[in-house]
Amino acid sequence: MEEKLRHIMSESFKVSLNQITEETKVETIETWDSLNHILMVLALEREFKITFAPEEIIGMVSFEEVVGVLKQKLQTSGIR
Amino acid sequence: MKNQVVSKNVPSLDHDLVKKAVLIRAVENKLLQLFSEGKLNGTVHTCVGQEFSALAFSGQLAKEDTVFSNHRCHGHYIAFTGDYEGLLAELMGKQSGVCGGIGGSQHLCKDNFYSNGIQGGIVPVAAGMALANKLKGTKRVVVVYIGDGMLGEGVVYEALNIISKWNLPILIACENNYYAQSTPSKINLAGDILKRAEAFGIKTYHNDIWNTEELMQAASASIAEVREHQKPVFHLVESYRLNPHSKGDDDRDPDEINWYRDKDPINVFARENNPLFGKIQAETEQTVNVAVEKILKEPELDIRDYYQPLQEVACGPWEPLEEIDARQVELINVFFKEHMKNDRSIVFIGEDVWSPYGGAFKIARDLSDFFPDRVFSTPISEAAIIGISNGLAIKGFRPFTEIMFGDFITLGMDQIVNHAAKFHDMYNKQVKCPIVIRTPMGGRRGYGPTHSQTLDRFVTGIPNVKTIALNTLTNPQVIYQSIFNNEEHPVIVIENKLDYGSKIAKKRLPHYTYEKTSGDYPVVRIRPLQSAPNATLLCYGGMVATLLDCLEPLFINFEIKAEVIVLTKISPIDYAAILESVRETRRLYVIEEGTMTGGFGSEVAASVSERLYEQVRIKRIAALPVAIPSVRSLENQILPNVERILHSIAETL
Amino acid sequence: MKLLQSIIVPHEIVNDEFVTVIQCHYKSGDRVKEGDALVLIETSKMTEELYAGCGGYVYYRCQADAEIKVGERILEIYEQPVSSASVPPQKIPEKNEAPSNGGEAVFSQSALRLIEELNMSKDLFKGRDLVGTEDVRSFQLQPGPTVSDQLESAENIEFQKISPYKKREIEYLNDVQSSHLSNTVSMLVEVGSCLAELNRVSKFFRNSLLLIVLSKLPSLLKEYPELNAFYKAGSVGFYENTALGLAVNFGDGLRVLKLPETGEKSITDVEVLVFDMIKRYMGKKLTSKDVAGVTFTVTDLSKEGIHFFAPLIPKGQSAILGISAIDEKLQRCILSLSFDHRVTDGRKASEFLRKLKKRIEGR
Repeated sequence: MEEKLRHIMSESFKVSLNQITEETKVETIETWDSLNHILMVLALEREFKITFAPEEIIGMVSFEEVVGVLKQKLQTSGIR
Repeated sequence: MKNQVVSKNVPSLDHDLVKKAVLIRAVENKLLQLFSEGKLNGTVHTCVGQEFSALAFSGQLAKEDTVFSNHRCHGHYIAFTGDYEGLLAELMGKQSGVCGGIGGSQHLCKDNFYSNGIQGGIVPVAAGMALANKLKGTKRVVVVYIGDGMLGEGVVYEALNIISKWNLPILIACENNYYAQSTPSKINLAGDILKRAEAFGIKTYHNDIWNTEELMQAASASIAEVREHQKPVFHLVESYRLNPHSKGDDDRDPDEINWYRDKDPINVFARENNPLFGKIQAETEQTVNVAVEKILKEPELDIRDYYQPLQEVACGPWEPLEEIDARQVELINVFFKEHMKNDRSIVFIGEDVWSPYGGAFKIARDLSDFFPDRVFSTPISEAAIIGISNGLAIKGFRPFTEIMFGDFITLGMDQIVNHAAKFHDMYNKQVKCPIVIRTPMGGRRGYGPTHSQTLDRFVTGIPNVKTIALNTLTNPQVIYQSIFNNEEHPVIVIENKLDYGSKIAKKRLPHYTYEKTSGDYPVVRIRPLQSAPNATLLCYGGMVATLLDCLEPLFINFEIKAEVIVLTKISPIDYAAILESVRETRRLYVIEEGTMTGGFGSEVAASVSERLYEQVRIKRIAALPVAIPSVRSLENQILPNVERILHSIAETL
Repeated sequence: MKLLQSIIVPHEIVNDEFVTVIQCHYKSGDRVKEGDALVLIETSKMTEELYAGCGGYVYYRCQADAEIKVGERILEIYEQPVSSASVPPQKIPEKNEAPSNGGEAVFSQSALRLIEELNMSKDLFKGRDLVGTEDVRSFQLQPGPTVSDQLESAENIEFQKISPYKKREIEYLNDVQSSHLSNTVSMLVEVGSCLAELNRVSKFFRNSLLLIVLSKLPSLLKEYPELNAFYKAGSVGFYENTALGLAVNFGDGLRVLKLPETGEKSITDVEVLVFDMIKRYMGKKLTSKDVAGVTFTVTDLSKEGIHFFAPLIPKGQSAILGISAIDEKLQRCILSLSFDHRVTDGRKASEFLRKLKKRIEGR
């Protein structure tokens, strides 16, 4: 799941895959702006078939945060 | 006209049974009274005199069995469900009625009871329900009530044929009351009723209403026989209705009516058990009156609970159109192979679909090898096979029904319009009928006038029915997937004979982009790479190739830079993409293979004019209004060809 | 050179119009015997071999992996080998033909005539798709150089038609600006007191006053109705409600997205509303209600590092607020208000801006 996330983030922010690490956050990636953030959110919703609440969207400000929210949502929706 | 009737056994009639019969009669009479007081919507077809036929079959079934009745269904309904209050409320038009007042007297639905006022058409639907029971392996019985009048409808015989051949566990209860509306049966009914069923190899039984105990036992035995042996039974019951067909329309000989009134089992019981009967009668009438008083005060259904206008889908984003290196027929075939494997509710029905033939256009190739219990190759009976599919759909299956040629859909129009399209709404949304009918339309094969038509006009604009058309630019699997995932109501899919062999989006014009929307039923758009279009060409299905052949000559000769829009969902139509284009181009040409009047182009022209504030030049180009010839040179001129399209467009410049 | 046998594509499957050639087992000119399998074809139902009815020299009129129409000649067998000149050329079905002008423009007949008349060269239109008389004329109407000059400099200029989006964008901005009566006032806003808090709360809009501006504007606009209005034909139309629009550019052109009510909301709430709007836009869930009816637009170029700009007023509005980048050292940034002088004036605009500045600074 984390691999998929890294790919999605790399595509959304138009950076190479190895620039996405566990320490990645909004401040460290210049192209992680509001618009590309939404690109990532939409791609995640499509990929994992989930929907993010608005509060979740603004809270996902780092790689770790996103992983955390994803884990939670995938558990409850029972998708592999 | 007066049949032999030996009346006996009535005094020993079970009191409970009599009470039930009295209740039915009391409700019917009350309804007649309410009608004359102007408190009912529509007319009533009372079954007074035939109560025991209702109780014999409907009254001796299990809850999980099914009853399908006709216009004269009140007795059947009360006997099966006991819900006299719901019936009264229904006819009085109240929200608490069986179907919220929507169905009225002839269209009831509750807890496995169904009725429809269309003669004949109910039989294949009931047969489909029996097939559903059989496929699920339950030992449930379906009872369908027909009358002597209904024996005039052809679809009854189509259904009997299939019922017998497929061993469907259905009991056909035929109530012969000697009159079909105002016409005595001997005028319109040739031959013998029982011999009809026997001719199809169906077991028959014969009783009458006046030997009531015998009738009750015989009916019970028939029900048990169907249940145990899982084979059909045709049970004829002689009876007589004491009231007019509906209200006030009785030209029968009054002496005859009185003779039967005298023999009527309830009246006989009344005479021979006077004080007891008086008590039963009074109590029953009281019960009914109390119910009516209560119901009179109740509200009617609000229109917002019945009808909500459809929301149109906004124009989705445009994405590039991909090519698929596989033929349409293969893609559709694979769709069925995969989905029938994973979903046991899918049933494939059509003529000649069994392996190795696999259907006239081979869509069903190999399916019966993989799924022999869910592929049905039917006799040539379009009405019946759609009816059976309707029954299956109501009972939870997903039938995909193939009508071999689009021209033959006319044979099934009743089942589409008066059954499939109606069930959900007229039963106040209690059932869904997710049937999918697939049929190829279109000419250019030299098959001649009755095998080449494009009859979209007859299957579009039917409320609650979606009409989809495949084309060679869109993956048919995407379409069928959308239908399978989303559609809970009838869908008609218009395929195209010529397109079956084509691969998807293979040939491209160099100066145009090919895009599609990403929604369930993609809209395809082909527009010049850079230039702003100055005309919109709209079509669906098989016209795509011809239309694309027009693009270059249109520009070279007339400077028309056309944008082509191809719809897949052609009823109801989502106009967003069309309007977006036409607002820019201000010219709309609709090219269709059907004939012009009242067709696809008419609908688009009217809708676009209504919605656009801007002035738009609209023209329809269609087949000439004459039968499609078999000889190719003439056919080519009757159907829209490149030359005629160019000229028609040039005329508007 | 006697032709012994000619094989046409059989019409076996009633509903097939084309078959696909899978493989030619020989080369043209090879010697074959009677009964040899010559070519494998595929119909909609199955694959099938076609066999030589006699011995001789086979010449194919098809290609592997190509489609060939039913009824067409697929190969011939000759008594003697044939020199290449006398073998009819291979027939490739028309429908599969690669476009003959492979990438060059298509010209209408009238356009061709006009080009000849004007002594122009078709090369001028290299890279275009469809060239009609209008296209030729509008090419000619470029101001300045004569036709002959154009011919000379043609190699150095490439014309690209503007996209429909750009066309609409121009229309949208031309409306107010064409009056030449708009002006811009700007003011420095001290951000020291609020910046730290802003950046703590919002990671995506850090170092920008956007969110706080959005929360302060609605109530302020109520006090300045002339900035929530538009000019039309001698009258001023005052909007009854305020609907803020945020200008965004996703790469496919300028768009103004309408925001729901942001007045007096917290930074976080405003951020949620903005994201929701962007998400619905990018998820293609917008309806026309979501873009129509904007009464006042905000445009934020702080991310681009712009420290001053004079935004253009959109059609149907009388003002627009531009947010520039924060000067980190001096802890301040410029807010610019462009306004339509036919509706309001510099004094009102300045007052508005001053009040906005105060509210942002928390005074």
